[in-house]
Amino acid sequence: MPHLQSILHPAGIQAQRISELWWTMFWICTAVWFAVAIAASIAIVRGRRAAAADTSQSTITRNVAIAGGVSLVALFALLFQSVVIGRALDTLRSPDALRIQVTGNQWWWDVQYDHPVPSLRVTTANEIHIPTGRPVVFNLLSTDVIHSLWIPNLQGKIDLIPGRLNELWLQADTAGVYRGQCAEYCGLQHARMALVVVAEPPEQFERWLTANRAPAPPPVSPEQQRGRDIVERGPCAMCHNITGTLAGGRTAPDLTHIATRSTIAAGSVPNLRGYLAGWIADPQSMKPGNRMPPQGLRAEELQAVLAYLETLK
Amino acid sequence: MLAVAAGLIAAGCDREARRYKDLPASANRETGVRVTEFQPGASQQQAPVSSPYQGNAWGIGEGKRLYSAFNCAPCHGVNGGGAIGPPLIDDKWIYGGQPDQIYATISQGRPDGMPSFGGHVPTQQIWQLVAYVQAMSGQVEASIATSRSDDQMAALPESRQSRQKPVQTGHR
Repeated sequence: MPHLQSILHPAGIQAQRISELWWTMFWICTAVWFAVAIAASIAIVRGRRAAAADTSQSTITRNVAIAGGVSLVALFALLFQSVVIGRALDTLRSPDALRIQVTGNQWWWDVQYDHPVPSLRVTTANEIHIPTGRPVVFNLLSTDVIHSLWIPNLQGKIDLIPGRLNELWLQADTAGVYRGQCAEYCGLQHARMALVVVAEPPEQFERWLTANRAPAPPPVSPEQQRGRDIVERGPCAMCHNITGTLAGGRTAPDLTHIATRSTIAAGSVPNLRGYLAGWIADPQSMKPGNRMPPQGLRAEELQAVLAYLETLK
Repeated sequence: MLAVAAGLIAAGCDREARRYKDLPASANRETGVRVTEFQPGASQQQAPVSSPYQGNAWGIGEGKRLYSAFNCAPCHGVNGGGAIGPPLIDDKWIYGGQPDQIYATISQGRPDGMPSFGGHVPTQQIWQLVAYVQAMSGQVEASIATSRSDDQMAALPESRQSRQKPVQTGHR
């Protein structure tokens, strides 16, 4: 199964609480449904016979009072639990939390790991790596319209609003790869604005972070060299950044370590050579309306670009 | 000695060749974009070429997005009011305000600072920029031009710009 996205498989304390609330509501609602169904069945079976019988006013009053009382108790119990869990979701505050900036764009996620030394900042897209067992806080921003970040296995959703900073606190306790998605309709390709969250043990996370601080490796073969030339001199460099090359655009996903990511086009398709080729050749067929224009590369140019992109580990 | 002389003579032959028909006759017609109206003889009028996005609100909106994405603003001003580059909201055009002239300006660049974006920016996006640049001085219908931005604007949006009549000024 590719990356599981489910509130019923919590991987952290917040998602655990949300799923507890969900199951409580599920069982109470199930009980209410069965009670109503049974009462309705009895009424149908008794039918006219009961209608003809003369039920006293006090019996009716008593039955309605019991049903109303049970409903009120159940509703207040759910309200109480909902408030308690809502407050508990907000208690995860820690000074040594890992802070990650997530910026929503139509229709992809920009992800930045800050560092006091600017050259050691890590920028990636559509894939967030987090350590397990440590609180993580996302700084949520948007460049265009309102988006919403939802990783059901880890936490509830919070909106990304232009001109406003929102925070989403969560902690992953179980290592794994979880799918998240935009949960606020944001335009044509809202449905294909997904992301992958990789929760991994702290030492593995540190290795990933260190590897991603490095600039792009230089091309080796002549074909890869030609691929880099096309990326730098052609249209790619106008929007995409590849640290260590002349490509320094900031309006599209950072490609410095594109080959390490598992998906392209914001979780739309797997990051395989065939999909990548199709994407570069005709992005408007795979994800109509997205901001990447067709490039008009010749076949051998496309192959060279692919050969180069595959070296960006 | 004789072989060397023969070789020299043979090499000289091509130099003397008179190539009357190297190009097809049709290549003799000038089709390039004219930067100036100052011409010998009677002025040649070109059929105007308009941007495919001239009447298209989406294309103009994309042009507005690309105007900031491709860093046009640092030289031409956030709202086109000009800075170290010429303003784009007035009626003065150094190299002409016709769509194909604006296209040539973006694609090929101009002396004294305008970089050439041809090959870096795809044709489709240059035409979107052309349509937006025209909208900046009110050259397109107000109902099609972009309206106010989400962020604070010091100037009127393109849809409320008064229509300027383009005047070609030549270089300062």
